Amino acid sequence: MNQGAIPNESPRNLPEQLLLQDAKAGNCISIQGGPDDILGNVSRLVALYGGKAEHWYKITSIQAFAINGASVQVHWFENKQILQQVELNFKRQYPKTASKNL
Amino acid sequence: MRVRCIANTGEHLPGNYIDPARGYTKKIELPLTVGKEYVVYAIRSWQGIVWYYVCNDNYSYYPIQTPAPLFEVVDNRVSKYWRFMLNPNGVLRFVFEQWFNDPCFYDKLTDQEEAEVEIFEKVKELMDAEDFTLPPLDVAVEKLRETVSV
Repeated sequence: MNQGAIPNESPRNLPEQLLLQDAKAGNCISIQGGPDDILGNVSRLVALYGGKAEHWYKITSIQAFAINGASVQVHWFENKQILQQVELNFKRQYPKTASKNL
Repeated sequence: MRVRCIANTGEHLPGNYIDPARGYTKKIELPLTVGKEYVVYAIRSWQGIVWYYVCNDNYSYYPIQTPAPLFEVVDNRVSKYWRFMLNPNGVLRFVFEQWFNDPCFYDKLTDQEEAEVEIFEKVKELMDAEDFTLPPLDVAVEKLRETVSV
């Protein structure tokens, strides 16, 4: 796994921007994290950004938009104690038969 | 194991499942279809809270933890692909072998790492098609005795 900080990814287009806005407005849930489901790379997050391991969560948009042939969600890490959001990235899952360069 | 969705909003969640840190508020609406059946690919439980890992209606490559009270169990037979884990902090899990063997499996899967995505595709295919049919008790034990008495 990556050991350094991963910069936030910017939306590539308007639908991704709308997806991000929707998620940041509260339409998001935790995938993993918290005291009962500690993230595998939480020591990296704590070293880079601080906080306690049990306060870090991996968050996803609840919505998944179909954009340019991909199912797109947005993920980020969040420290729920101080509401710090880092390493935002878009997950674009293409059907196996489609090109990833659309 | 299969479950049927009976509700898809936070209003139907018991109070101990309301957890704003995880995004679970009374207002939440999840991409689940009431009445639809879902295969459970893993289970996590801690302090009376039970999560089913299901492929919800927005599934693209990983199953996601979903509060158990939003479902009723329609097939309680457990998967032969599951392994049981009880962590020192009391967290109980049923997960498939690759997840059991690699504590970072789910991190990597949700990070969309190719190897883990491919593994879950295969596990999903197997678990979706899993045949739970068992022979009647007398037939099964007779067959066993034939095997061991040889």
